[in-house]
Amino acid sequence: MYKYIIKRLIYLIPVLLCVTLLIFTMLYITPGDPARMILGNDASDEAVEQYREELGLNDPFWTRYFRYLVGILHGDLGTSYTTKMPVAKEIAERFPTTFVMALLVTIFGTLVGVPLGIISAIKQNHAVDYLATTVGLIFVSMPSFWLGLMMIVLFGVKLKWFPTSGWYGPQYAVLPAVTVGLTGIASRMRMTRSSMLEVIRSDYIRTARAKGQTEFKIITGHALQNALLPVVTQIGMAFGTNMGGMIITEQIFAIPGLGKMMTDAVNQRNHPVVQGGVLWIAFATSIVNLIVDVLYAYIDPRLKAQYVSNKKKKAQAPKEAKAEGGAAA
Amino acid sequence: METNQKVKKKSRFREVAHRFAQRKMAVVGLVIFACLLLMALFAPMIAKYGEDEQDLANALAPMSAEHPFGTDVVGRDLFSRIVLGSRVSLFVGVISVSIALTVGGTLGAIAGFYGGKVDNLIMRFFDVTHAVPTMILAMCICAALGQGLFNTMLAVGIASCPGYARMVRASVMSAKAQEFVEAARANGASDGRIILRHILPNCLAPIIVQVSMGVAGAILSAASMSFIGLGIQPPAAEWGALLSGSRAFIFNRPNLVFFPGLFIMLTIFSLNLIGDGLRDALDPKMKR
Repeated sequence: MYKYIIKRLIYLIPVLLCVTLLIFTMLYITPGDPARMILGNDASDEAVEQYREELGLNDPFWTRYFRYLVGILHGDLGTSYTTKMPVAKEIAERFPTTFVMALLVTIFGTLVGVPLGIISAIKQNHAVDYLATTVGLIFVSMPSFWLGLMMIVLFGVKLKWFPTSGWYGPQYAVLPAVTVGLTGIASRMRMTRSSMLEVIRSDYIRTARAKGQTEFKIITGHALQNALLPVVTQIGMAFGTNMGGMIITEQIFAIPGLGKMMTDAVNQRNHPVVQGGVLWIAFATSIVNLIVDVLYAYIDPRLKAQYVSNKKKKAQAPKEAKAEGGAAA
Repeated sequence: METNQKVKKKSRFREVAHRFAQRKMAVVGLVIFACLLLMALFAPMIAKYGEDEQDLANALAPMSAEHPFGTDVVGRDLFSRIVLGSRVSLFVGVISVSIALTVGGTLGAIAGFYGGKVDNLIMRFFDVTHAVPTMILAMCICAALGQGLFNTMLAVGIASCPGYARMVRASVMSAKAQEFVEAARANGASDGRIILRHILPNCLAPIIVQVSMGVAGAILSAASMSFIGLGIQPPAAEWGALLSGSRAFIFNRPNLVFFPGLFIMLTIFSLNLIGDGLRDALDPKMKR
């Protein structure tokens, strides 16, 4: 298992290297001159040219790319064009906000969505199921920016229950968390329902019923464990995406998180921040994916067996063969 | 031989259509989507006003019989703009998915069919793009290409390639192992012919489902791009752009934000219903 984790961590290096190259190339061909953006339209051409030279924008592509890589190795992700702050510091300042939000939203979505999905699956084709699946699908289909704006109008302006923008205390987290959470609940519910339905139809559940197990124990003890596996993957993926910032939601509710940093940076041609942000998000997402995979192996014994190294397997194989042979004899 | 094959194909289609028709919600989705499609088709006849027809005296008018959804800041009729915008939004959805399916699907099919080094190379590349969330990837591509209708479609299409590649690869790999592929090869069929004529038709079910849901996803992504100011820009009547253009008036005239979003939601809702229904109808496990 440790070997597997280390292998995956080592594998991360080329992936992240390619991510930097990909983003660097993309930004290289992006139209618009960062120097012009910073100095404004009033600046003279000479001043812009001088500034370009200062930023090293006139150097060839590979020179710039390698300078950037060397910087990363020294923990330097560059300096933001707009705030003049080191990009690493800016990310470090904004990441906790996004992390808290992502955690909140994921927990909220899971705690409500999974039970709803289970109920919906048990009551398949009943009114409850139809209501839950239809409402769930409506929420999945809602654009998050629209849902967020409607929340602002209803709960912020009409009812005045919650503040609508900024990030100064727990009450500010309510509307954005509910906005993203509702979509999360809906997709978690759909996933739990379909995976639960598949498991309920299987033979071992029929066996459990046949031997007279109570329905409650069948659901919680027998079916749930297997049904939750794909849900765990989905939760992990959603958490990973949310860690990259709830781009739209942070924009609407003016939350100073990674998502807002990214949209602002892309719009302002703030290349160092875009590069640093993408790199950090790729790193965070990959780590979350790794944790999910490891977790998965712990929940599912079938998968755990795959991680047992080949040597052990070979050592075990003859023994098993012998045992089988003995049994046959 | 030829006629025999035709009869068989028809019956398979009928069977699926029959099972699809049994799902009420799927039919509801199909009806909603057909209405939206008709609306897009006959848009110039339904819309009372032109796309850019301004009436400054009537700016920000509330909802009325004359302007069912009200008017925007320069007095353009929102209903007409939404109706005309349906063409843009549906077009964006279909073209983006076509791009994603062509590029991602082809690469996925090649990776799945040849395996080995080719597979490794292609899938490692998609691993890289997989590490960056789709939305951020689309944002960066959008920024690199610049604004505009075509660039938005391209950005959304490229960003969703990995998903299609993975799906096509998985189904090609399972179809490849079957005997009819070996039979085709024994008959001397070329690789291209085997993939297109023998393997692809056997992978159609998951592709159809993913496409119907993918169009919904693409419309949503494109609208999100417009919303954060990267995609199609406000003067155009794309639904996301309509919504973001009127964002400043959300407190006085929420209807300007409500209706474009409602239409986005209806489109995505209907496509998801169709996708759900198709998945159930095409799934051999559901056969009774």
